[in-house]
Parts: sequence; C-alpha cells; structure tokens
Amino acid sequence: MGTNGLRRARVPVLLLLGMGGFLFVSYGYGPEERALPVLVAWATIAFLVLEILVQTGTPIGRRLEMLIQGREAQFDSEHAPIGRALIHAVVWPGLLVGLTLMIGMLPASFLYVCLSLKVVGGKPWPRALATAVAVTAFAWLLFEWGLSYRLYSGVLLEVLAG
Amino acid sequence: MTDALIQAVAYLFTLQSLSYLALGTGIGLLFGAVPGLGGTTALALLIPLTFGMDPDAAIVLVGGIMGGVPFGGSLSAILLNTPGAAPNAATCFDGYPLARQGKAGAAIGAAATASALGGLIGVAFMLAVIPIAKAIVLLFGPPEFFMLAVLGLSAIAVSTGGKLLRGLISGGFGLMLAFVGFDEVGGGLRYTAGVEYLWDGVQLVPALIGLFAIAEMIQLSTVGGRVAIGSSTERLSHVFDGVKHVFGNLSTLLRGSAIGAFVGAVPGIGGTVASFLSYSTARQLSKDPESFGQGNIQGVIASEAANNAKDGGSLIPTLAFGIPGSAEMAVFLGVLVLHGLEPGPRLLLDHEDLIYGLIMALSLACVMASVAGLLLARYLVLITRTDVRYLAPIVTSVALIGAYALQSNFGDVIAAAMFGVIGYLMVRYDYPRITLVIALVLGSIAERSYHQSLMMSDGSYTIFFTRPVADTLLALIIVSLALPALKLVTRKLTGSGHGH
Repeated sequence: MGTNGLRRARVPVLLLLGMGGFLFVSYGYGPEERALPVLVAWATIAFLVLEILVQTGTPIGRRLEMLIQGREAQFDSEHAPIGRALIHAVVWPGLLVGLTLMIGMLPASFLYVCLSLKVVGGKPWPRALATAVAVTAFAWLLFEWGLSYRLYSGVLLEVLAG
Repeated sequence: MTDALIQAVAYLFTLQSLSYLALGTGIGLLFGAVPGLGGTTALALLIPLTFGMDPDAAIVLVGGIMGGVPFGGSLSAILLNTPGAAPNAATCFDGYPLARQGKAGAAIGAAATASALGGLIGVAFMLAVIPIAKAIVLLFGPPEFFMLAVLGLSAIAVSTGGKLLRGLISGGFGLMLAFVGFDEVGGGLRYTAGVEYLWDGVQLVPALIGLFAIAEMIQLSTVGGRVAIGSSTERLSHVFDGVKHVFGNLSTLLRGSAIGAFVGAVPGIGGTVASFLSYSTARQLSKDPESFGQGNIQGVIASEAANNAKDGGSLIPTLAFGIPGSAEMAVFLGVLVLHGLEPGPRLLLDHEDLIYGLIMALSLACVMASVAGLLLARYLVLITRTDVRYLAPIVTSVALIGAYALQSNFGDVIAAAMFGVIGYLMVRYDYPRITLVIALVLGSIAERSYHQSLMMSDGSYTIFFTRPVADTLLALIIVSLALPALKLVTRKLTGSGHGH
C-alpha cells in the first residue's frame, strides 16, 4: 500500500468519517424519519470503502475498479499546494460575505470588486474604482430599481437606524 | 381544432402580440441568464403586470418568457460555467469546456439551434399527447416515482466519465443534504444542527450558484488567465459550425427532445432531471463517451434539447389536470387563474384558441430567443476573453446578490459561499458535482415516494417489483449500473480492448 496509497485515500477516509457521523446522528431519529437516510448512508459507506480500496492500489482494489468502472485504476494526481488556493477559496468569498453582513450587499459588492481588482488583480485604482462602480450600478439597476427587491442592508445600518 | 389554430395564428401575428412576445422573450433571456432569477421568478414578478391585460396578451407574454428563459440560462452556463437555473447545469459540462477551448461560438450556435428545435419538438409532443395524456400520467404512482429518482441518480453516476464510485459517493452526500430540514412524512426536524435556516432544507439555487459559479471563479482565480484558453478570435462561422453540428447529430437532438418532453410531462420531476438524463443517455450511447465533459458538442445538444422540450411536456399535466409539473408551471397556473381560466380538461375544450395561442407563442419565443442568441454570439463570447481577475470578483458578487434575491434570506448568501468552497474542493479532488446536484433535486421526491409506496403496500417492499412500469425502470437501473462492466466484457470479447 505505502505512503502514496494512504495519501490518496485521505479524502475518502475523511468522507467516511463524515458519513459515519451522519449515520450516528440518524440513529437518534425515529424509525420512519431515519429509514431512507440510514439506507443511503450505509450504501455510501460501502462505496467509500470500495473507493479507499481502489485508491490504496491494493490488488483487490485494482480488480474492483476493473469490475465496477470497466477500466484500470486511475489514481489522483498530486495536487498543487493548497495554501494559495485556500486564500482564493475561503478568504476572498469569506471577505465578501463578511462585508455584506456588516455593510449590506451593494456597498460590499463595491468594496469587494474594488479591493479584489487592486489587491489580487494588481489593477490601477481608477480602473478598479470604475469597474466597481459599474458592477454596483448594474446590481442596483437590475435588482433594486428594475425588480423592486430590497437588497440586504447590513447589520451596521440596522444598528445605526436603531 | 383547425379553426382554433387559425384563430391563434392570426392573433399572434399582429403587431401588438409580436411586441409582447419580443418583450417576454427578452425578459426571459435576461432572467434566464442571471443566476438565481430564472423563469419562476420572472413569471412571479410579472403576474401583477399581466393583471390589466386581456388573457390572450397575457398568455403571449408568458409564453415569450417561458420560451426565452432556458436559452438565457444556457448562455451563462456556456460562457461562465454558471447555470442560470438548475436545468442549465447539464449544459455546463461540455459547453464550458468548449468555451475554454475557444469554441464558445460553436457551443452557443449548437445550444441556440438545439433549444429552438427542442422547444418545437416539445410542443409537437404536447399536441400529440394531449388526447392520451391522462392515461400516461396515471401510469406513474409512488413506486414508479421512486424508481425514476433512483434511475436518474444511477444513470448520471454512470455518465461521470469513469468515476462511477465517486459519482455514487457524491450522490450519497447529495441525498444526505436533501434529507436536511422538515421530514415530509413525520413532519419532524432532521439534521439541522439547530440552524433555523436549514428548517426548509438545503436550497437548490444557492447550492447551484455556489457549486458552479463561485467554485469556478475560485478555480479560475487560482490559475489566472482567461476563461478561453483556445484561439483568440471568434468568427461568425464558428457559430454556424455549431448550428451544423446539431443537424449532424439529429439522433442526439431527437432523443434529447423526447426525453425532455416525456420527463417534463411527469409532475414533480422537472427540467433538471430531463436535461441531466438526456445528457447521460447521450454519453452512454456515444462511441466516444470519454470526450463528454471535455467539450463534446453532443453534450450541449442533448441537454439543451431536453431543457427546452420539457416545457411542452410539462404543460400537459398543468393544462389538462391542473397539476403543475414544476415550480415555474405552478406560477403559470397562477397566471391562468388570475385571468379566470380554470386549468383542467374543460380548459382544453372551452378555451382551445388560448391553448393554441400559448403553444404558438412558446414555439415562436424559442425561435426568437435562439435567433437573438445566434446574432449576439460573437459579442457574447468576448466574456470568455476577459481577464479572470476582472471576471472573478464581478461574477462572485453578482452571483451572491442573485442568491439573496431568490427569497431575501441572508442564509442563502452564506449557503452559496459555502457551496462554493465545497464545489472547489470537489473539482480539486475530482469528485463529480453533477450527481450531488441531481441527488439534491431528487432527494425529497425519492423519500416521499418511498414512504408513500410502503404505506400503499402496508410496509411490503414487493410493491417496487410487482408493477410493470416500476419493473421496467428497475431493469433500466440495473442495466445502467452494469453498463461499464458490460462494455468491458464486450471490448474483451471483440478484442478491441487490447491494452486495457
């Protein structure tokens, strides 16, 4: 099996733990409420065990892969370091959600687009500002003016308005 | 019938009707293209607007919207991997890779043509089936619905390009998410972890916005560049190449349209299942299934044909029995009722001219939307040449506003952002998003029909195996799951699998 096999299997192992947790919670509900969830959880656990066998590259795993998927095992390629990706995946969307929560959707969109273009995109301030204004104006025109939606105004405004 | 048809045509080809139709189609295209809006929102928002109109004009406007929405959604799906609505998600799988290869024009051309023809075939199907519609709809009871849900999931897992196990795992997690919220049978709360937002379950549209739009923007941000990594110029001829591809793949078009019309006619299943099922069928029957998901134009044709044909299909139970096939049709029922038209068999007899007016409007709107798409394609593809450092923050912020606009709930914004991270991790670790989405759609249908079936049979599971339609669906499930192994055996027997 080796270190590579174990590394490849870490995602299905994590998912297996998650599904185990789901199953544990499911048994806390009544027989009718948990009937289908439990069925699905056990089936998914079985698929995860098979996936772990396939990813560890054991002979039985290779045979299984051939039988179930009609081809030889294809292992995950090594991924690029997750550090930079996590910044894009979590920090920036998180910033937008946080800003939206605090100052509302339109100001948050303006700030987010402007900061993102300047900090991540390295664009000059005038271009970043112009793009942010255009996006905010489009959102306002479509949602607030055109469709009469009241977009979320943020916690700060609610606090200030008393 | 002929008189009513002539009357409908005469009314439709007046300046006033054509103006309403063009307006409706334009609104439909816009609402279809912006994630989080879609046809249901467009119709719901325009109900008050139609109040002062006469029923004929209202029907034409509504027909225009319903015809324009599906193609609008396919534009954003192809150009930005952002499905305007759930049924457009299947178009992303090959439309977006084509855009990345610099073939967005061809993808739009194919989508426009398949949309128009699929819509027309769906309408023709509706006209043909209305007389026997009742018998067909009555063939489907809870056991058949359950089997149909399982078939949808298994067929789509098989179509995930040699990742059957991972497809099934994603499907399992999708179902797990679908079980969150009020239990439809007992009425109790499940898996909400005390979060009030989850009482109504995991919402599909924020999940889609996150899994596709935001996840894609995260992915693009990590690598930089542009969406299109292919050729740098888009000629009009590329658009017409797409049109030609549709006529070169007529079987894919006809099959997709038939699936769309048929699945659309089954109440509660909806366009998402239709387009995904059509996509997976095209992939399974293809001589080159591995190219699906990499930019095979047949994938675009199959999903778009089904997505548009489903409208004709879903009008059958809506008009004939007053049973809306989807949320959009439920709102459409509201429009009919508002104008004093009671859906049901009498509607078909008493207001034949209106029904044909709607059918004609729907058909013409499909064609108008597609022509507009073809004309604008060369300009629309410029989006794919835009630097992702511009595109990512713009799409992310508009997508999150769209998620909020759906039901003015900040929880949807958080959900969309969280699904964005989940979607990105699924892309990164190569777990198909398609089965998670379809499981989220089918979860409640599957659970409801599972319990209803067992109630019908006093708890006996034999009910799933003793009805002809359910048996047929079960056989299809087994065949779909065994297909990869069967293909392997066939390859070995014919000797073409040397080296595998």
